[in-house]
Amino acid sequence: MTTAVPAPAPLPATAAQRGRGTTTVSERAVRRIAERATAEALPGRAARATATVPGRTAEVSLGVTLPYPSPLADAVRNIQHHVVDRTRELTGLDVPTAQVNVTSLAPPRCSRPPVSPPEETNSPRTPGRWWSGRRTPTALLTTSAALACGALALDLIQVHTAHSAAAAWRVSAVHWLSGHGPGDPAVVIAGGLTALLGIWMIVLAVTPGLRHRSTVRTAAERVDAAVDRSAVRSLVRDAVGDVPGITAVRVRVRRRRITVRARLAFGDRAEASAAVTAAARAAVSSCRLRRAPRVRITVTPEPVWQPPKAPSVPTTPLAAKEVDQ
Amino acid sequence: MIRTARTAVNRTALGAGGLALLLTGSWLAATDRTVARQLPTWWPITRTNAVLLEPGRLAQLRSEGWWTPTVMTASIGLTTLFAYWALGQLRPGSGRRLALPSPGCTVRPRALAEAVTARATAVPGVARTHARVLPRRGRRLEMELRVWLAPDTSPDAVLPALRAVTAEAEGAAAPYTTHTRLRLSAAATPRRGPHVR
Repeated sequence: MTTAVPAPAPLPATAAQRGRGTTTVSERAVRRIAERATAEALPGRAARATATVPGRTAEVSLGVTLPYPSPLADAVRNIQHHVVDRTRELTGLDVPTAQVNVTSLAPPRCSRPPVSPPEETNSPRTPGRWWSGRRTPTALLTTSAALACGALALDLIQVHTAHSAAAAWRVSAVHWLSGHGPGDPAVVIAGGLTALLGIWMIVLAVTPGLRHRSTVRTAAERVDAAVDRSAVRSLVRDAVGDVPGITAVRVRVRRRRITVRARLAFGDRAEASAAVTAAARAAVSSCRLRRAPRVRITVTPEPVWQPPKAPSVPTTPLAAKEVDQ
Repeated sequence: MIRTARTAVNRTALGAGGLALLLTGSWLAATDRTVARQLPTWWPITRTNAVLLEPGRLAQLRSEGWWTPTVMTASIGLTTLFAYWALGQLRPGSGRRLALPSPGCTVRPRALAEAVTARATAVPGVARTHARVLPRRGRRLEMELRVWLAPDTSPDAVLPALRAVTAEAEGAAAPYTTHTRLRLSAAATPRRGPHVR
Protein backbone atom coordinates (compact mmCIF):
# COMPACT_ATOMS: atom_id res chain seq x y z
CA MET A 1 0.00 0.00 0.00
CA THR A 2 1.15 3.48 -0.54
CA THR A 3 1.29 6.06 2.15
CA ALA A 4 3.78 8.65 3.28
CA VAL A 5 3.64 11.09 0.47
CA PRO A 6 3.76 14.49 2.05
CA ALA A 7 2.24 16.01 -1.01
CA PRO A 8 -0.47 18.61 -0.99
CA ALA A 9 -2.40 16.47 -3.45
CA PRO A 10 -4.46 13.49 -2.31
CA LEU A 11 -3.24 10.11 -3.41
CA PRO A 12 -5.10 8.41 -6.22
CA ALA A 13 -6.97 5.22 -5.45
CA THR A 14 -5.27 3.32 -8.24
CA ALA A 15 -2.22 2.91 -6.06
CA ALA A 16 -4.03 0.12 -4.24
CA GLN A 17 -3.99 -2.00 -7.35
CA ARG A 18 -0.18 -2.01 -7.43
CA GLY A 19 1.86 -4.63 -5.65
CA ARG A 20 2.30 -4.61 -1.89
CA GLY A 21 5.51 -3.37 -0.37
CA THR A 22 6.38 -0.68 -2.90
CA THR A 23 5.81 3.00 -2.56
CA THR A 24 4.36 4.55 -5.63
CA VAL A 25 4.27 8.26 -6.06
CA SER A 26 1.82 9.33 -8.66
CA GLU A 27 2.82 11.63 -11.48
CA ARG A 28 0.21 14.08 -10.37
CA ALA A 29 1.75 14.30 -6.91
CA VAL A 30 5.20 14.87 -8.37
CA ARG A 31 3.79 17.51 -10.66
CA ARG A 32 2.08 19.34 -7.83
CA ILE A 33 5.19 19.14 -5.67
CA ALA A 34 7.30 20.56 -8.48
CA GLU A 35 4.81 23.37 -8.99
CA ARG A 36 4.86 24.23 -5.29
CA ALA A 37 8.67 24.13 -5.26
CA THR A 38 8.73 26.52 -8.22
CA ALA A 39 6.33 28.82 -6.42
CA GLU A 40 8.70 28.81 -3.43
CA ALA A 41 11.58 29.87 -5.66
CA LEU A 42 9.50 32.37 -7.62
CA PRO A 43 6.98 33.94 -5.27
CA GLY A 44 3.90 35.25 -6.94
CA ARG A 45 4.47 33.67 -10.30
CA ALA A 46 2.43 30.81 -11.67
CA ALA A 47 4.32 27.84 -13.02
CA ARG A 48 3.21 24.81 -14.97
CA ALA A 49 4.93 21.52 -14.47
CA THR A 50 4.73 18.15 -16.15
CA ALA A 51 6.16 15.03 -14.61
CA THR A 52 6.66 11.43 -15.58
CA VAL A 53 7.70 8.75 -13.13
CA PRO A 54 9.34 5.82 -14.87
CA GLY A 55 10.30 3.52 -11.99
CA ARG A 56 12.23 5.19 -9.19
CA THR A 57 13.12 8.34 -11.07
CA ALA A 58 11.02 11.39 -11.78
CA GLU A 59 11.42 13.49 -14.88
CA VAL A 60 10.19 17.00 -14.26
CA SER A 61 9.68 19.73 -16.79
CA LEU A 62 8.65 23.26 -15.87
CA GLY A 63 7.31 26.23 -17.77
CA VAL A 64 7.98 29.41 -15.82
CA THR A 65 7.56 33.15 -16.05
CA LEU A 66 10.63 35.01 -14.86
CA PRO A 67 10.92 38.61 -13.72
CA TYR A 68 12.65 40.92 -16.17
CA PRO A 69 15.28 42.33 -16.22
CA SER A 70 17.43 39.83 -14.39
CA PRO A 71 20.08 37.46 -15.68
CA LEU A 72 18.09 34.52 -17.02
CA ALA A 73 20.82 31.94 -16.70
CA ASP A 74 21.30 32.51 -12.95
CA ALA A 75 17.58 32.63 -12.23
CA VAL A 76 16.96 29.43 -14.14
CA ARG A 77 19.86 27.67 -12.41
CA ASN A 78 18.51 28.63 -8.97
CA ILE A 79 15.01 27.42 -9.83
CA GLN A 80 16.36 24.18 -11.22
CA HIS A 81 18.42 23.46 -8.10
CA HIS A 82 15.57 24.34 -5.77
CA VAL A 83 12.98 22.28 -7.62
CA VAL A 84 15.26 19.26 -7.94
CA ASP A 85 16.21 19.37 -4.25
CA ARG A 86 12.69 19.88 -2.97
CA THR A 87 11.12 17.26 -5.21
CA ARG A 88 13.76 14.72 -4.27
CA GLU A 89 13.33 15.52 -0.60
CA LEU A 90 9.55 15.35 -0.59
CA THR A 91 8.96 12.38 -2.88
CA GLY A 92 12.00 10.27 -2.15
CA LEU A 93 12.35 9.67 -5.87
CA ASP A 94 15.54 10.14 -7.81
CA VAL A 95 15.24 13.44 -9.69
CA PRO A 96 18.24 13.70 -12.01
CA THR A 97 17.37 17.12 -13.35
CA ALA A 98 14.46 19.40 -14.12
CA GLN A 99 13.93 20.98 -17.47
CA VAL A 100 13.11 24.65 -17.06
CA ASN A 101 11.55 26.41 -20.02
CA VAL A 102 11.15 30.15 -19.70
CA THR A 103 7.90 30.77 -21.52
CA SER A 104 7.51 34.45 -20.74
CA LEU A 105 9.24 37.30 -18.99
CA ALA A 106 7.38 39.77 -16.81
CA PRO A 107 8.67 43.35 -16.94
CA PRO A 108 8.02 45.39 -13.78
CA ARG A 109 4.44 46.55 -13.39
CA CYS A 110 5.29 50.19 -12.79
CA SER A 111 6.18 51.08 -16.34
CA ARG A 112 9.11 53.25 -15.39
CA PRO A 113 11.59 53.58 -18.20
CA PRO A 114 14.99 52.09 -17.59
CA VAL A 115 17.73 54.25 -16.17
CA SER A 116 20.06 55.49 -18.84
CA PRO A 117 23.69 54.54 -18.48
CA PRO A 118 26.18 57.41 -18.50
CA GLU A 119 26.79 58.66 -22.00
CA GLU A 120 30.23 58.04 -23.42
CA THR A 121 31.04 61.20 -25.24
CA ASN A 122 34.06 59.93 -27.13
CA SER A 123 32.46 57.75 -29.75
CA PRO A 124 34.91 54.99 -30.62
CA ARG A 125 34.24 54.92 -34.33
CA THR A 126 32.07 56.38 -37.00
CA PRO A 127 29.46 53.76 -37.79
CA GLY A 128 29.27 52.62 -41.39
CA ARG A 129 26.24 52.62 -43.59
CA TRP A 130 23.83 49.74 -43.37
CA TRP A 131 24.15 47.38 -46.29
CA SER A 132 21.05 45.73 -47.58
CA GLY A 133 20.94 41.95 -47.63
CA ARG A 134 19.50 42.09 -51.19
CA ARG A 135 16.94 39.51 -50.26
CA THR A 136 14.19 40.52 -52.65
CA PRO A 137 16.22 40.53 -55.90
CA THR A 138 17.97 37.32 -54.89
CA ALA A 139 14.65 35.69 -54.07
CA LEU A 140 13.17 36.82 -57.41
CA LEU A 141 16.13 35.63 -59.47
CA THR A 142 16.58 32.32 -57.67
CA THR A 143 12.84 31.60 -57.80
CA SER A 144 12.70 32.17 -61.54
CA ALA A 145 15.85 30.10 -62.05
CA ALA A 146 14.38 27.32 -59.90
CA LEU A 147 11.14 27.41 -61.89
CA ALA A 148 13.01 27.24 -65.20
CA CYS A 149 15.28 24.40 -64.09
CA GLY A 150 12.35 22.63 -62.46
CA ALA A 151 10.26 22.77 -65.64
CA LEU A 152 13.19 21.36 -67.62
CA ALA A 153 13.80 18.61 -65.06
CA LEU A 154 10.11 17.69 -64.92
CA ASP A 155 9.83 17.50 -68.69
CA LEU A 156 13.01 15.42 -68.98
CA ILE A 157 11.72 12.99 -66.36
CA GLN A 158 8.36 12.69 -68.11
CA VAL A 159 10.02 12.09 -71.49
CA HIS A 160 12.47 9.49 -70.21
CA THR A 161 10.29 7.60 -67.75
CA ALA A 162 6.74 7.92 -69.09
CA HIS A 163 7.94 8.06 -72.71
CA SER A 164 5.68 10.94 -73.50
CA ALA A 165 6.55 13.51 -76.12
CA ALA A 166 8.61 16.56 -75.17
CA ALA A 167 6.62 19.55 -74.04
CA ALA A 168 5.64 22.09 -76.66
CA TRP A 169 7.60 24.90 -75.02
CA ARG A 170 10.83 22.88 -75.15
CA VAL A 171 10.33 21.94 -78.79
CA SER A 172 9.58 25.51 -79.78
CA ALA A 173 12.56 26.80 -77.77
CA VAL A 174 14.94 24.43 -79.55
CA HIS A 175 13.31 25.35 -82.84
CA TRP A 176 13.73 29.08 -82.18
CA LEU A 177 17.35 28.69 -81.09
CA SER A 178 18.21 26.66 -84.16
CA GLY A 179 16.54 29.20 -86.43
CA HIS A 180 18.17 32.34 -85.08
CA GLY A 181 21.83 33.23 -84.94
CA PRO A 182 24.00 36.12 -83.84
CA GLY A 183 23.12 39.20 -85.86
CA ASP A 184 19.39 38.60 -85.97
CA PRO A 185 17.45 41.57 -84.62
CA ALA A 186 15.65 39.42 -82.07
CA VAL A 187 18.94 37.98 -80.80
CA VAL A 188 20.51 41.45 -80.67
CA ILE A 189 17.57 42.80 -78.65
CA ALA A 190 17.60 39.79 -76.33
CA GLY A 191 21.34 40.25 -75.86
CA GLY A 192 20.85 43.91 -75.03
CA LEU A 193 18.17 43.08 -72.45
CA THR A 194 20.41 40.41 -70.95
CA ALA A 195 23.23 42.93 -70.68
CA LEU A 196 20.89 45.39 -68.95
CA LEU A 197 19.84 42.70 -66.48
CA GLY A 198 23.53 42.01 -65.84
CA ILE A 199 24.23 45.69 -65.21
CA TRP A 200 21.29 45.85 -62.81
CA MET A 201 22.60 42.83 -60.89
CA ILE A 202 26.11 44.29 -60.69
CA VAL A 203 24.74 47.60 -59.44
CA LEU A 204 22.74 45.75 -56.79
CA ALA A 205 25.81 43.78 -55.77
CA VAL A 206 28.12 46.74 -55.24
CA THR A 207 25.85 49.48 -53.88
CA PRO A 208 24.84 49.57 -50.21
CA GLY A 209 21.12 50.03 -50.75
CA LEU A 210 18.73 51.03 -47.95
CA ARG A 211 18.86 54.58 -49.24
CA HIS A 212 15.92 55.68 -47.14
CA ARG A 213 17.75 55.05 -43.89
CA SER A 214 20.58 57.05 -42.40
CA THR A 215 22.96 55.64 -39.86
CA VAL A 216 22.88 57.21 -36.43
CA ARG A 217 25.79 57.58 -34.04
CA THR A 218 25.39 55.53 -30.89
CA ALA A 219 28.05 55.40 -28.23
CA ALA A 220 27.14 51.80 -27.45
CA GLU A 221 29.03 48.73 -28.47
CA ARG A 222 27.09 46.16 -30.50
CA VAL A 223 24.22 48.54 -31.22
CA ASP A 224 23.73 49.74 -34.78
CA ALA A 225 21.10 52.39 -35.16
CA ALA A 226 19.54 54.02 -38.18
CA VAL A 227 16.80 56.55 -38.62
CA ASP A 228 14.36 56.68 -41.50
CA ARG A 229 14.80 59.68 -43.72
CA SER A 230 11.08 60.31 -43.49
CA ALA A 231 11.46 60.71 -39.72
CA VAL A 232 14.25 63.26 -40.23
CA ARG A 233 12.05 65.02 -42.75
CA SER A 234 9.05 65.32 -40.46
CA LEU A 235 11.25 66.48 -37.58
CA VAL A 236 12.80 69.26 -39.69
CA ARG A 237 9.42 70.18 -41.14
CA ASP A 238 7.78 70.48 -37.73
CA ALA A 239 10.72 72.44 -36.30
CA VAL A 240 10.73 74.92 -39.18
CA GLY A 241 6.94 75.18 -39.16
CA ASP A 242 7.06 76.39 -35.55
CA VAL A 243 9.07 79.48 -36.54
CA PRO A 244 6.79 82.56 -36.35
CA GLY A 245 5.69 83.84 -39.74
CA ILE A 246 6.35 80.60 -41.63
CA THR A 247 3.24 79.22 -43.34
CA ALA A 248 4.19 76.33 -45.57
CA VAL A 249 7.32 74.20 -45.37
CA ARG A 250 8.66 71.73 -47.88
CA VAL A 251 11.60 69.59 -46.85
CA ARG A 252 13.62 67.23 -48.97
CA VAL A 253 16.10 64.97 -47.22
CA ARG A 254 18.87 63.40 -49.24
CA ARG A 255 21.92 61.56 -48.06
CA ARG A 256 24.26 64.55 -48.09
CA ARG A 257 21.93 67.49 -48.30
CA ILE A 258 18.69 68.68 -46.76
CA THR A 259 16.72 71.29 -48.66
CA VAL A 260 14.17 73.37 -46.80
CA ARG A 261 11.77 75.63 -48.67
CA ALA A 262 9.66 77.83 -46.43
CA ARG A 263 7.07 80.49 -47.22
CA LEU A 264 7.00 83.64 -45.12
CA ALA A 265 3.72 85.43 -44.39
CA PHE A 266 4.88 88.23 -42.15
CA GLY A 267 7.88 89.45 -40.22
CA ASP A 268 11.40 90.39 -41.09
CA ARG A 269 12.87 88.26 -43.83
CA ALA A 270 16.42 88.11 -42.56
CA GLU A 271 15.33 87.30 -39.03
CA ALA A 272 12.93 84.61 -40.23
CA SER A 273 15.65 83.14 -42.40
CA ALA A 274 18.06 83.02 -39.47
CA ALA A 275 15.41 81.45 -37.24
CA VAL A 276 14.57 78.83 -39.88
CA THR A 277 18.25 78.01 -40.31
CA ALA A 278 18.74 77.64 -36.58
CA ALA A 279 15.63 75.47 -36.19
CA ALA A 280 16.57 73.21 -39.09
CA ARG A 281 20.15 72.81 -37.89
CA ALA A 282 18.99 72.00 -34.38
CA ALA A 283 16.53 69.42 -35.69
CA VAL A 284 19.19 67.81 -37.89
CA SER A 285 21.80 67.70 -35.17
CA SER A 286 19.30 66.11 -32.79
CA CYS A 287 19.16 63.17 -35.20
CA ARG A 288 22.86 62.37 -34.57
CA LEU A 289 23.36 61.44 -38.19
CA ARG A 290 26.59 59.68 -39.09
CA ARG A 291 27.57 62.49 -41.43
CA ALA A 292 26.05 65.89 -40.85
CA PRO A 293 24.29 66.78 -44.09
CA ARG A 294 24.46 70.27 -45.54
CA VAL A 295 21.31 72.26 -44.93
CA ARG A 296 20.12 74.55 -47.65
CA ILE A 297 17.41 77.03 -46.70
CA THR A 298 15.19 79.08 -48.99
CA VAL A 299 12.68 81.45 -47.42
CA THR A 300 10.27 82.88 -49.98
CA PRO A 301 7.79 85.61 -49.01
CA GLU A 302 4.14 84.94 -49.74
CA PRO A 303 2.39 87.29 -52.17
CA VAL A 304 0.64 88.94 -49.22
CA TRP A 305 3.90 89.54 -47.38
CA GLN A 306 4.78 93.12 -46.59
CA PRO A 307 8.01 94.39 -45.12
CA PRO A 308 7.45 95.08 -41.42
CA LYS A 309 6.94 98.66 -40.33
CA ALA A 310 8.34 100.29 -37.23
CA PRO A 311 8.10 97.75 -34.38
CA SER A 312 6.37 100.13 -31.91
CA VAL A 313 3.14 100.55 -33.92
CA PRO A 314 1.30 97.22 -34.13
CA THR A 315 -1.54 98.62 -36.26
CA THR A 316 -1.39 96.47 -39.39
CA PRO A 317 -3.69 93.44 -39.26
CA LEU A 318 -0.80 91.01 -39.68
CA ALA A 319 1.18 92.49 -36.83
CA ALA A 320 -1.93 92.55 -34.64
CA LYS A 321 -2.43 88.88 -35.31
CA GLU A 322 1.13 88.20 -34.31
CA VAL A 323 0.60 89.96 -31.00
CA ASP A 324 -2.55 87.91 -30.39
CA GLN A 325 -0.60 84.69 -30.45
CA MET B 1 28.74 47.31 -43.21
CA ILE B 2 28.07 43.80 -44.40
CA ARG B 3 27.17 41.88 -41.32
CA THR B 4 25.73 38.51 -42.27
CA ALA B 5 27.18 35.74 -44.36
CA ARG B 6 23.96 35.63 -46.35
CA THR B 7 24.42 39.21 -47.46
CA ALA B 8 27.93 38.45 -48.67
CA VAL B 9 26.79 35.31 -50.50
CA ASN B 10 23.84 37.10 -52.11
CA ARG B 11 25.95 40.00 -53.24
CA THR B 12 28.75 37.80 -54.57
CA ALA B 13 26.27 35.70 -56.52
CA LEU B 14 24.49 38.77 -57.85
CA GLY B 15 27.79 40.27 -58.94
CA ALA B 16 29.10 37.09 -60.57
CA GLY B 17 25.81 36.31 -62.29
CA GLY B 18 25.45 39.91 -63.40
CA LEU B 19 28.95 39.93 -64.89
CA ALA B 20 28.27 36.71 -66.78
CA LEU B 21 24.96 38.04 -68.11
CA LEU B 22 26.57 41.36 -69.04
CA LEU B 23 29.38 39.70 -71.01
CA THR B 24 27.06 37.28 -72.81
CA GLY B 25 24.44 39.91 -73.49
CA SER B 26 26.85 42.52 -74.75
CA TRP B 27 28.54 39.97 -77.01
CA LEU B 28 25.17 38.98 -78.46
CA ALA B 29 24.10 42.61 -78.81
CA ALA B 30 27.37 43.48 -80.56
CA THR B 31 26.60 41.01 -83.35
CA ASP B 32 24.33 43.63 -84.86
CA ARG B 33 25.65 44.39 -88.34
CA THR B 34 26.11 48.12 -87.86
CA VAL B 35 27.96 47.60 -84.61
CA ALA B 36 30.00 44.62 -85.77
CA ARG B 37 31.89 46.65 -88.39
CA GLN B 38 33.31 49.03 -85.80
CA LEU B 39 34.54 46.40 -83.36
CA PRO B 40 38.28 46.04 -82.66
CA THR B 41 40.19 43.18 -84.23
CA TRP B 42 40.55 41.17 -81.02
CA TRP B 43 36.76 40.94 -80.55
CA PRO B 44 35.60 37.34 -80.81
CA ILE B 45 33.39 37.24 -83.87
CA THR B 46 31.26 34.39 -85.16
CA ARG B 47 31.18 33.12 -88.68
CA THR B 48 28.28 34.20 -90.80
CA ASN B 49 25.04 32.21 -90.88
CA ALA B 50 25.74 30.66 -87.48
CA VAL B 51 22.79 29.75 -85.28
CA LEU B 52 22.56 29.69 -81.49
CA LEU B 53 21.87 25.96 -81.40
CA GLU B 54 22.85 23.67 -84.25
CA PRO B 55 20.34 20.82 -84.64
CA GLY B 56 23.01 18.43 -85.87
CA ARG B 57 25.22 19.05 -82.90
CA LEU B 58 22.26 18.59 -80.51
CA ALA B 59 21.28 15.30 -82.15
CA GLN B 60 24.88 14.11 -81.88
CA LEU B 61 24.97 15.00 -78.19
CA ARG B 62 21.67 13.24 -77.57
CA SER B 63 23.00 10.07 -79.07
CA GLU B 64 25.85 9.99 -76.57
CA GLY B 65 25.16 7.78 -73.57
CA TRP B 66 26.28 10.31 -70.91
CA TRP B 67 24.25 13.25 -72.22
CA THR B 68 20.77 12.46 -70.90
CA PRO B 69 21.78 11.49 -67.32
CA THR B 70 24.07 14.52 -67.09
CA VAL B 71 21.40 16.98 -68.21
CA MET B 72 18.83 15.38 -65.93
CA THR B 73 21.11 15.37 -62.90
CA ALA B 74 22.22 18.92 -63.57
CA SER B 75 18.67 20.23 -63.93
CA ILE B 76 17.45 18.47 -60.81
CA GLY B 77 20.49 19.61 -58.85
CA LEU B 78 20.14 23.20 -60.00
CA THR B 79 16.41 23.18 -59.19
CA THR B 80 17.16 22.01 -55.67
CA LEU B 81 19.94 24.56 -55.23
CA PHE B 82 17.89 27.51 -56.45
CA ALA B 83 14.80 26.50 -54.50
CA TYR B 84 16.85 26.10 -51.32
CA TRP B 85 18.47 29.46 -51.94
CA ALA B 86 15.15 31.17 -52.56
CA LEU B 87 13.70 29.68 -49.37
CA GLY B 88 16.71 30.94 -47.46
CA GLN B 89 15.68 34.50 -48.29
CA LEU B 90 12.53 34.21 -46.22
CA ARG B 91 12.72 35.86 -42.84
CA PRO B 92 13.90 33.33 -40.28
CA GLY B 93 11.37 32.72 -37.57
CA SER B 94 12.33 33.03 -33.95
CA GLY B 95 10.70 29.74 -33.07
CA ARG B 96 13.79 27.85 -32.01
CA ARG B 97 14.27 27.86 -28.25
CA LEU B 98 17.46 29.26 -26.82
CA ALA B 99 19.45 26.85 -24.72
CA LEU B 100 20.65 28.26 -21.40
CA PRO B 101 23.87 27.09 -19.75
CA SER B 102 22.09 24.78 -17.26
CA PRO B 103 21.36 21.47 -18.98
CA GLY B 104 17.78 21.12 -20.21
CA CYS B 105 16.92 24.77 -19.67
CA THR B 106 15.63 26.93 -22.48
CA VAL B 107 14.07 30.31 -23.08
CA ARG B 108 11.63 31.28 -25.77
CA PRO B 109 13.19 34.04 -27.94
CA ARG B 110 9.72 35.49 -28.35
CA ALA B 111 9.48 35.98 -24.58
CA LEU B 112 12.67 38.04 -24.63
CA ALA B 113 11.37 40.05 -27.57
CA GLU B 114 8.07 40.72 -25.83
CA ALA B 115 9.86 41.91 -22.68
CA VAL B 116 12.10 44.21 -24.73
CA THR B 117 9.04 45.56 -26.55
CA ALA B 118 7.32 46.34 -23.27
CA ARG B 119 10.41 48.08 -21.89
CA ALA B 120 11.03 50.12 -25.03
CA THR B 121 7.41 51.20 -25.31
CA ALA B 122 7.64 52.59 -21.78
CA VAL B 123 10.32 55.08 -22.90
CA PRO B 124 8.80 58.57 -23.17
CA GLY B 125 8.57 59.68 -26.78
CA VAL B 126 8.20 56.16 -28.18
CA ALA B 127 4.86 55.50 -29.82
CA ARG B 128 5.23 51.85 -30.76
CA THR B 129 7.90 49.17 -30.78
CA HIS B 130 8.49 45.89 -32.49
CA ALA B 131 11.30 43.58 -31.45
CA ARG B 132 12.57 40.29 -32.80
CA VAL B 133 15.22 38.09 -31.28
CA LEU B 134 16.99 35.79 -33.68
CA PRO B 135 19.32 33.07 -32.44
CA ARG B 136 22.55 32.88 -34.38
CA ARG B 137 25.35 30.39 -34.40
CA GLY B 138 27.81 30.28 -31.54
CA ARG B 139 26.06 31.91 -28.59
CA ARG B 140 25.07 35.01 -30.48
CA LEU B 141 21.74 36.71 -30.58
CA GLU B 142 20.60 39.26 -33.06
CA MET B 143 17.95 41.64 -31.88
CA GLU B 144 16.03 43.71 -34.36
CA LEU B 145 14.33 46.61 -32.65
CA ARG B 146 12.10 48.94 -34.59
CA VAL B 147 10.88 52.00 -32.78
CA TRP B 148 8.23 54.43 -34.00
CA LEU B 149 8.84 57.85 -32.50
CA ALA B 150 6.02 60.08 -31.34
CA PRO B 151 5.68 63.37 -33.23
CA ASP B 152 8.32 66.00 -32.40
CA THR B 153 10.56 63.44 -30.74
CA SER B 154 14.13 63.42 -31.92
CA PRO B 155 16.40 60.37 -31.88
CA ASP B 156 18.63 62.26 -29.46
CA ALA B 157 15.81 62.25 -26.90
CA VAL B 158 15.18 58.52 -26.92
CA LEU B 159 18.56 56.97 -27.78
CA PRO B 160 20.00 56.96 -24.22
CA ALA B 161 16.91 55.24 -22.84
CA LEU B 162 16.83 52.77 -25.73
CA ARG B 163 20.49 52.03 -25.08
CA ALA B 164 19.50 51.21 -21.53
CA VAL B 165 16.78 48.88 -22.84
CA THR B 166 19.25 47.03 -25.04
CA ALA B 167 21.78 46.90 -22.19
CA GLU B 168 19.10 45.28 -20.02
CA ALA B 169 18.40 42.72 -22.70
CA GLU B 170 22.11 41.99 -23.04
CA GLY B 171 22.34 41.49 -19.31
CA ALA B 172 19.33 39.19 -19.21
CA ALA B 173 20.57 37.01 -22.07
CA ALA B 174 23.97 36.94 -20.39
CA PRO B 175 25.93 34.02 -21.85
CA TYR B 176 24.82 35.14 -25.29
CA THR B 177 26.31 38.21 -26.93
CA THR B 178 23.49 40.32 -28.24
CA HIS B 179 23.90 42.51 -31.28
CA THR B 180 21.14 45.03 -31.77
CA ARG B 181 19.94 46.66 -34.93
CA LEU B 182 17.84 49.62 -33.96
CA ARG B 183 15.69 51.35 -36.52
CA LEU B 184 13.95 54.60 -35.71
CA SER B 185 10.89 55.59 -37.72
CA ALA B 186 8.32 58.31 -37.46
CA ALA B 187 4.93 57.19 -36.24
CA ALA B 188 2.31 57.58 -38.91
CA THR B 189 0.40 60.72 -38.07
CA PRO B 190 -2.17 62.64 -40.10
CA ARG B 191 -0.33 65.11 -42.24
CA ARG B 192 -0.25 68.53 -40.68
CA GLY B 193 -1.74 71.24 -42.79
CA PRO B 194 -0.05 74.58 -43.35
CA HIS B 195 0.42 76.63 -40.23
CA VAL B 196 -2.06 79.46 -39.98
CA ARG B 197 -1.08 82.30 -37.75
